[in-house]
Amino acid sequence: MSEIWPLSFDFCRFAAKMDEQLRIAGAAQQESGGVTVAVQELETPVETRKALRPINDVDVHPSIGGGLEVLLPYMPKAWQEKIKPHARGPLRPGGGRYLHPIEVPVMRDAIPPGGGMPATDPQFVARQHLDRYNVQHGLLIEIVASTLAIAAVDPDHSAVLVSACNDYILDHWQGQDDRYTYALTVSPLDPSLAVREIHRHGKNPFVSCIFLPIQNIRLGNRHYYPIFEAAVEHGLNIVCHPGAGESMFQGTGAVFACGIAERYIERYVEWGQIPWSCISSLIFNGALDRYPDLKFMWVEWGFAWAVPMSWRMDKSWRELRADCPWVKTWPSDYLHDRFFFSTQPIDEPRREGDLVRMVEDYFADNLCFASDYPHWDNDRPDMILKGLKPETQQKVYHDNALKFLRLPK
Amino acid sequence: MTTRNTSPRSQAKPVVDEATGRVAWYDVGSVADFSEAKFIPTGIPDKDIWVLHTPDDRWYALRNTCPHQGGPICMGEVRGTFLPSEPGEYVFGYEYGLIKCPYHGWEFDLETGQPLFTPGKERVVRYDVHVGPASLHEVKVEEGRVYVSAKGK
Repeated sequence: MSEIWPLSFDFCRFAAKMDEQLRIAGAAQQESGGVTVAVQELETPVETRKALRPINDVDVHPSIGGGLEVLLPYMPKAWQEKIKPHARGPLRPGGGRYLHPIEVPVMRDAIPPGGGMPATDPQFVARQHLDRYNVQHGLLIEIVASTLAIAAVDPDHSAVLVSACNDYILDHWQGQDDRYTYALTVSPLDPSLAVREIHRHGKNPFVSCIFLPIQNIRLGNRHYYPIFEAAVEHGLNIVCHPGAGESMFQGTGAVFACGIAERYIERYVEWGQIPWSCISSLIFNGALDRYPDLKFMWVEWGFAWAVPMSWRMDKSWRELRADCPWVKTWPSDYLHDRFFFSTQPIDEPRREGDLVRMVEDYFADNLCFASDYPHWDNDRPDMILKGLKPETQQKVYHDNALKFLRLPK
Repeated sequence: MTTRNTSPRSQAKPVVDEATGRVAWYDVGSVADFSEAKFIPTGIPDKDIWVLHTPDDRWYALRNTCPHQGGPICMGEVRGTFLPSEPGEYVFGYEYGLIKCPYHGWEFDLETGQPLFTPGKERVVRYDVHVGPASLHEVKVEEGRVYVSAKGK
């Protein structure tokens, strides 16, 4: 995404291209007896691993290797029958609405040695990414589920698709490497079904937080209270990540301010509008006071915009506090204590120092490193935010994520 | 898309400059090894250098590292890009004159190594390419072989 690659193009077309390229790569491999880049590059990480301090990464994307048909075995029989006739369609609807300027927006060196989509082989991801950067905990956020959750308008259909994605990922990734931890996706359409999903997997130690895709209902709305309650019951915090067809699907999908963006770049720079609205909604409608143990993390929406937002919130609270008397302290304190943000896609101001200063001043306690592996706009931990103080670096790259995730003791 | 095998087509052979006694070039293969109009990896030891032979017979060699965040830039597109134009107008050009990093989309001019259309001090590291039989100072070259300089610029 940031943007997550598949939102803006047709999955089938992408998959076909990948297949074609993999065939080419495979043929070349046979000719030369050689290996693909991904495998060659594995020579480097072992050295790097020793050199780098341990980090945590709150945004690693596992892929579902195939179309909708691979999810069928994870659905109840009746739903298999209902969905089967449509299972040859794209895994992620909405393709082609935006023409992604990066032709194939995934890391081209992330194709696993056995072929297939990037991030379909947990062992390869562990070697190529976790080993290379000494990642101790990599939070798996699966995007297809969030798109399907919103693309379906029938809440039962939405929940079945999301559950199937969860089960697929648990089946393929749990137990593969202790460093992986999972953000369990729920459908936001019917909170009672989301609650059921949370209870179904909430005790699983592989699950460390809940991924709540955003629909066109602001997050502080009481619609979500049952979801928050169930999350708190399991000691799980809420992570939000783009992927739910934001500014794409008219209807359930969240639409940016003043209508749908016409091109990819607009959408890419406007993501922050959604958390901006949701943070305001969560603070001023009292949800944070109703659920004092609950924290939220915004992954991949940017973070710099939250500074002017907090200035406006603080000023407004002094003047208009009576509008929300349950808000008893500075909104910027809520922002600091209850919200986490992630680094990727890192902003790149023309004066690099501006961003570093901003992180030191405002985000040392609640910003977490995220790579977005294996998407096109991934950030390398050693290539961003150079110049942070060592203590801030320790927090952003390591400690802050541990304050948010429910990890096995 | 250009995901592809990154094993070199052949071993790179060091070529010594007789005047200095140093390795000045590497023989990275035959012209036919670079017929695909995209960057192809070479086997130059310890350096990830890729070579492009364009359809109009230009040659480029680059280090496979984007100066932005270290992405594998040579796996990116070289077919061309959209030139600065009027609103609503798309003009495709610069065919085989640029490399676009597949990670963050940064574009660089293959001739100069400089960012294309966006200001910036970053440079991609380039290497000279020489194709036999034209003679090369103090170095023996063979017809139909491709040589890449040992030193980047």
